[in-house]
Order: sequence, then C-alpha cells, then structure tokens
Amino acid sequence: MLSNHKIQIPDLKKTGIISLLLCFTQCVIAQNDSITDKLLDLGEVVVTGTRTPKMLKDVPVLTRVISSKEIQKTDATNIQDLLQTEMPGVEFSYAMNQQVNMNLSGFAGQSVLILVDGERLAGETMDNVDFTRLSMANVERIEIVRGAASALYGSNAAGGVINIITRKASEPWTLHLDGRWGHHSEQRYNGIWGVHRGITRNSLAFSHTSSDNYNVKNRGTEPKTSTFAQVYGENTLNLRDQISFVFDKNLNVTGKLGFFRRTMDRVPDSQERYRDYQGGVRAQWQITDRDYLEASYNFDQYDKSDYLRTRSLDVRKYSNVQNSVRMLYNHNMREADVLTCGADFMYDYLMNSNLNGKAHRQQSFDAFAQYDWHIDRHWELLGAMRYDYFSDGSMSRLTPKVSARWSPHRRLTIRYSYGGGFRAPTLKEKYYNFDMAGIWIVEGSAGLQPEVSHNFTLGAEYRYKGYSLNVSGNYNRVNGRITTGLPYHKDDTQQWYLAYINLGDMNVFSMEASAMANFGHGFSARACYMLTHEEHTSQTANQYMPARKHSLTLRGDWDHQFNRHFGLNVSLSGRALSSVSNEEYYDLSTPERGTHKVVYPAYSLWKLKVTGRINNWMQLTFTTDNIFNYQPEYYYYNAPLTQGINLMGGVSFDIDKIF
Amino acid sequence: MRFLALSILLCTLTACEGTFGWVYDEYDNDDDNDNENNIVIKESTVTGQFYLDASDWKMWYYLDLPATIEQIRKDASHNIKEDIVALPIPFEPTGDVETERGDDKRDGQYTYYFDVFNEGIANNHFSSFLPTSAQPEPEHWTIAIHRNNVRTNRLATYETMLTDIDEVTEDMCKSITAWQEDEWSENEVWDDQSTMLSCYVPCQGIKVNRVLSSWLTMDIPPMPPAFSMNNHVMLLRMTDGTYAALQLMDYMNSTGKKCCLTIKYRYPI
Repeated sequence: MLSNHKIQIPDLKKTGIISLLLCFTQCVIAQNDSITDKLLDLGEVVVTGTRTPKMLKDVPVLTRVISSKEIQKTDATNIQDLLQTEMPGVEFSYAMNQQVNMNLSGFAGQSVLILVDGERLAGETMDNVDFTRLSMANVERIEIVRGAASALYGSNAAGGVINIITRKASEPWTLHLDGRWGHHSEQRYNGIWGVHRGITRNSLAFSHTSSDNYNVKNRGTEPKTSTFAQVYGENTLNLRDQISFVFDKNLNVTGKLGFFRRTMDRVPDSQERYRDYQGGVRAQWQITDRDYLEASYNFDQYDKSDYLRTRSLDVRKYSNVQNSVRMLYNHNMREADVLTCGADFMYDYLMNSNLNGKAHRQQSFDAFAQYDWHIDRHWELLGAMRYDYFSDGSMSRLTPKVSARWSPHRRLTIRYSYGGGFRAPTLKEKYYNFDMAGIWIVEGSAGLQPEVSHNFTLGAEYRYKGYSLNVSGNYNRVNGRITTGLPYHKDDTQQWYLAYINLGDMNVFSMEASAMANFGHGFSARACYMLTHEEHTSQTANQYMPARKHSLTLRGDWDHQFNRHFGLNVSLSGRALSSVSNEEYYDLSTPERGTHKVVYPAYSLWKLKVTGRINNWMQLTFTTDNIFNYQPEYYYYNAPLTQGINLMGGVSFDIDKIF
Repeated sequence: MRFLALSILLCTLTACEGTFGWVYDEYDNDDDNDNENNIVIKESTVTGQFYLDASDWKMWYYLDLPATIEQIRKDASHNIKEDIVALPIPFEPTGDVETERGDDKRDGQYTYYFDVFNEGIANNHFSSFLPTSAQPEPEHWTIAIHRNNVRTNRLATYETMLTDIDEVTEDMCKSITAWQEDEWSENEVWDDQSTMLSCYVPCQGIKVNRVLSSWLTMDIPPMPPAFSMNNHVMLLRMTDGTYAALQLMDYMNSTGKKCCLTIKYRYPI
C-alpha cells in the first residue's frame, strides 16, 4: 500500500545525540550486530518510552515498534485493524450499539493513551477514542509501550501508550494512490502527496473508506440480550496536511491541519455524523549541541451530530474541544546522560446533551522531569517524576517512574521498569446523565477519585543475526478502578440508576513471548504469544470485556524480486484467541434477575495476502481474509464481526516512480 | 503557505470552546408553534396542521376534531394543544397474572415475546396477561394517539394514495366502499420500553385503527428501532356522515425525538 520508507532521525531531535553516536560506533565495530539490527529493525529510533529519540535496542523502556513495512504487510485500514492483527493481548469488543472498546492486556480503552505525533486526541465513545480516525495512510511507525507511563504522559497512560508517528516528506515529490475493494461494498481509497523543496516539506494525506450495513444470522437462543442482527457499515473521510519549515539546521517549525468525518446509517430517518477538526503548530529548536527545546500548540475538536433527514437538520449533540500547549526541554549531560523537563497545559471543554449542565470545562496542568543516566555501555538507569493538576475538583497527583537497562552481552538486553499510573475521572464520568431507553439512568459522580496503578515490568531480549527472542512479564495493581457499578434504586420509584464509582482493585499479570526470524532468501516470520490473567476484588457487570487469557499472533512472509519488472510478496498472518467468560445480566431490562457467566468461545482468524510489484511503481494485491471461513455462532459483545471468507482486491500506484 | 499560517492562527484564536458551529443547525425550540401554522379557512372547510409530542409510552392523547374546527372557525389563532386531552394507560392490576391466553378480548396488559434480536418483532407470541381497568376516555373525542398507534371513536378510515390533502373531494369520499374500523390488538400498543431488551414487552389490549396507525411504523431490529413514515392522506368517515382528512407530515421534533407528530388536517371535506 505504502512505499517503503527508511526511518530517519529527525534533524533537530538531537537530544540523545551522544548516546546515538555511541550506538553508531558500536554498530561499526560489530558488523554482525549491524546486520542483526537491520534485519530486525532494531536500528529504529523511538521516542515514546523516554520522550527523547533513542535506538530501539537501547531504550530502557520496553517498546514495540510496528514499522511502515509491517503496516504495509497487514494491509490495515486503521489502528484497530492493525493492532488486532499484529499484537497479541489486544482485542476490540463491541457494546450493544456496536461502539468499540479496546482491551490492551487487561486495560480498557480509557486506560490506554493513544497519541498522534505525541498529541492527545479529543472525543470518546464508551470512553474510547474514535479508532476510525486513525487511518494507516501515511504512518511512519507506531510505538507501543505497555504498562504505566503516567510519569511522562499523565492521565490515561496507566495501561500503556500507543503513539502513531506520521510520515514527513523527504523526497522532492511523491504521489501515492491506492484503492481496495471487498465484501459488503467495502471500499478504501488513499492518496498521499509529498513535496520537499528548499526549506519546505509538505505532506498531504487523504483517506476514504465505506462499507454497507449487513445482516448477520445468530444461531441458537442465548445469550439473546447481547446479539446483533445487523452490522453497521461506515463511511469515513480523513484529510491531513502537515507542513514543515526548516529555517536553519537548528530550527524547525511544523504546522498541521486535519479534518475527519464519519457517518453511520443505523436507521433510515437519521444519520449519525462524527467530525473532527484538528490544527496545531510545533517548533523544534536545537539551541546548542547539548540543549533542545520543543514547544507546541494543539487544537482538537471532536463533534457528534444527528442529521435528521425529514427536517434536513444537522443537530450537534456532543463536542469535545482540547487546547493543549506543551513544552519539552532536553539537556545532554556528561556522556550520554539526558535531562528532560517539560510542562503541559490543557483546556478541556465538553458539551454533551446527556450531561448534567450540558457543558463542563476543565484546565489541567502538569510538570515533569526525567533523568536518563547512561552509567556505562552495559547499564542505563532512568528516573522520572511528574506532577499533574486538574481544576475540576482541584485534584492533583504525583507519579514516579524508574527504568533500568542492563546489556551484559551485545546480544542480550534485560529491562526492568516500575511505573506509576493514574487515570483522572473524565468530565463525562463526573457529570453524565443518560437515560438508557428507560432501562436505567447512567449518571456521573462528581466525587470520583483518580484511578491509581502500579506497574512492574521485567523483560529480556536476545538477538542473533536475523533472529530475536523477547520475553517479558508485567504486573499491574490498579486501585479504585473507575467504572459503572451495580444498578440501584435511588428512591421509592422503580427507576434503576447506574453510577460511575471507584469500584475496587484489579490485579493484572501478563507475560509476552515473541520470536522474530529472518531466514534469508526472502523468508521471515514472527510469532507472539501473550498470557493475561486478571483478578478483581469487586465484581460488576458491564460491557467492558475482560482480556482473553491466551492470545497468539503469527505471521510468515516470503518476498522475492524475480527481475527488475516484477516482484512478489506472500504473507500469511493469523491470530488465535482463547475463550473468555464475562459476568453479564440475564437481561438488561431486569437487572434484579442477576447475572450469569457468558462464555465467548475461542477462535482464530487467518489472512493470506499476495502482492505483485510491477515495475516498481505499481502493486496489485489480492487478500483472502478469514481463509478458514470462521463464523461465530452468535454476533455479540466479544465476537468478531465476520461472516466468513472475505475476498479483497487492491491496486496501488507510486506515480513519482514512473518518471 | 500564508493560507496555512492564517488558518492555524485562526484556529488558535477561536478555539477555546470549539469552532465550526456554523456547520451545524440549531435546535428549533418552537416545535409547538407549528400549531398556529398553515390554517386556511375556505368556506366551511378548515385546513391546518398541529404538532403533538406523543412520545410518552404511557399516555393516550385525545382530540375532538369537529369541536376543534369549530373553535378555529371562531378564532383562527386558536391553539389546538389546548384541546388535546392526555389520559394515562391504566397499569394497576385488577386480577392475577395469567399465563394461559383466553379467547375473550379483555382490558389489560398483554406481555408478548418479541424476537428483538433476530427475526424481528413480527415474530412474536403471547406470554402473559395482567387484567387492568379499561382505558379512560373523554366524553367526546375523534381520534386518540399514542406514539405510533392511533385509535378512533367508532369511526371508519381509508388510506388514499394522495399526498396532497387539498386534492381530496367529497365525491371521492362518497365513492369509497372499503372503509375500515378499529380492530382489537394485544401486541401493538407497546407501553413500557424498559423491558424491550429482555424481548418481553407489555402491550395494552385495546382496539386500534390499523389504517391510521400505518402512518408510522416501527421496526426492530435495528436497535434503536427504525421508524418509517407513510405520508398518504388518510380519510375518516365521521358518525354524522361527514368526512375528514389527516396526513402525517413528520414524526420527529427538531432534536430528533421520535413520535413527535406533525399532523395536517382538513375538515369537513
């Protein structure tokens, strides 16, 4: 889909310059290591774990990178497609209205911070961001840090951080166009235009997807309250422009504008519309060889409206506006030590027709400092502390983090981290007042306290030539989880209420093992397994699914260039998930009947993709999704929305390569 | 480049609580004002329309059309809302729950199973019956409306293929032979949405007019329910032999709330 693009360290992100030079020196000395790095993408530069650019193999915080090459192999449309294909322990489930909820190793979507180029996203549905906003067109790489990272990123980063890094134009000009067609009139079109002239670099990305509603057939009679009879299609449009001015080698200013629109037709008389407007500017200044300063302003507005066809009215019912100002300063100390300091301010505005008072506002402020101590070439220690303040309820929080990297051998790296995490209650969780079809009233609680977590991670990475093996264990203790509690009667009426509360504690243990191999002759493979175990001190019944205990993703690739006119790539990928049970009401209408365990069976889905490269500027792709024709017995909360085999065909052109 | 810089600057200056408000339409909080709209008095015939929020699950709204028309003739600014009488559906049991379905058409709550999640609500069957008192009614009334259900006071109705109420003529009315009266129903007047997801929905046992009720139909799935509107002109033959015409113009208010009906009327034909 996208042309291969080598990751480069941004010119002005020289904050970790000494450590990078050290890495490069090591690479030159040990050529085998260099080959290993190249084959395994360990030479990638990542920023999310430390907020400074560091080589992936050297970063003390365990980070998973999905490169543009891997994104291309998955043929993913958006972040949801990508993560569930590439990462074990990630699953997307559906509420009754098919709103999507992510689960990352036991943490629901509200506890996982999703960033685009380091910036937060406005808007939520079921406390999850709109995943369809996050198109995979023009993505450079995605960095995933599992475990708490609130000492660097603040609220919501209790379960991890997913940072999507977009691509900047590097060639004089590029023009990429692609289209894909599949079942249920599924269509996807992408266009990416890049220009690099003089001091200016501009990248314009366009993405459009559409699919029809389709009916699904449930077999059997239980569990009847969770099943879907129809899967809703969507129509999305995503536009994003990013322009950079490199005024001199030390100063870079980047501006961006974005627009997103999604529509959904559940019923004939009205259309659900979701829109996002984004803008921002970022200045990066390498003050001296040792000092680097970054300042940014970001605006993000996410709206929901209903278009009433009979009245031709487009009525807005939700708007979340976030204005953020961020400052980041890095100072290189002796050797490769880096001191990082930063402060952020955010003005958060929420208007929701289901909110007490309709609109609420909150200012939040934070300041943080981190010291990255490069003790010697074997040891690196990193400590961070962050203070967060939220104006609504005058809440504040101090969060620490300590990470260590030990490389006893050039092929072996051990990483250890302790991180504090927290999630401040959102304005919705404080002031919600939603009558759910007369069944119950979901209401916020102004006195909610932040959800606090402690995360311990221990990981080992061994690499040899084209092979690598990673094993890591993760333990999280979460106190005062914020979620909806059990329904209750407030007064003498029969009306049920469902309040957001600090429910209780949760312990999550996860273990991940992944192996990657580059066998040569175009053959490569990756296998990742994750074990997740959750324990809750208090039970509730809601639509946030627990994690499946076992999950596995597998990928095998063969790539061959037959001659200069034709190359072929064959990719087989799959994911297998064990069964999971969830405590659910017998029926939502009568919660007094109590709950029972609903079992969601194990399943696996496999995808075969064949891509032919013609003359270096054209690609034809044929994909068979769900090749073993898996069809769930029921379409419900935690079942994949597939009807069986889906054949897709696609074509892409790199117009600039024609000339 | 300048355009981009200007755009970013504009965003930053206007953005604290959002911008782009012009993309959307504002709520029209004056749905009730539709009552006063479009009243035309031509000789003895009055044509107009009124707005009725009939979304309450537990209430019937009654209108005495000839009496209202008489008021409008006297005062063209008369508000029809003042003539509408709201009477609740009785829920107080007058006997025990019965799980066997009897043949008699008794007043009460009939709980039916509806296949909400699969085949749809057309697939339904009786589950239980709870006797209650009869539906209270005003002394004089013509039609009664409850959400998407309509009843008449022993009138006959007919659905035309016309969509312009002014095209109806008295001769046309006189030539119609296929008039339909109200019929008994146990599974159409849904009166409690809170149990919908359990698939067991209580319905009022009562006579409904299926011709007039066909102006607004509800289907499940999907969830939330899908409504579809029929804007054909419906005719009513009154007990005194006169004729009236009704036409559903809209079933939503400006916030998108369903079963808020805008009804056009013409009487006498």
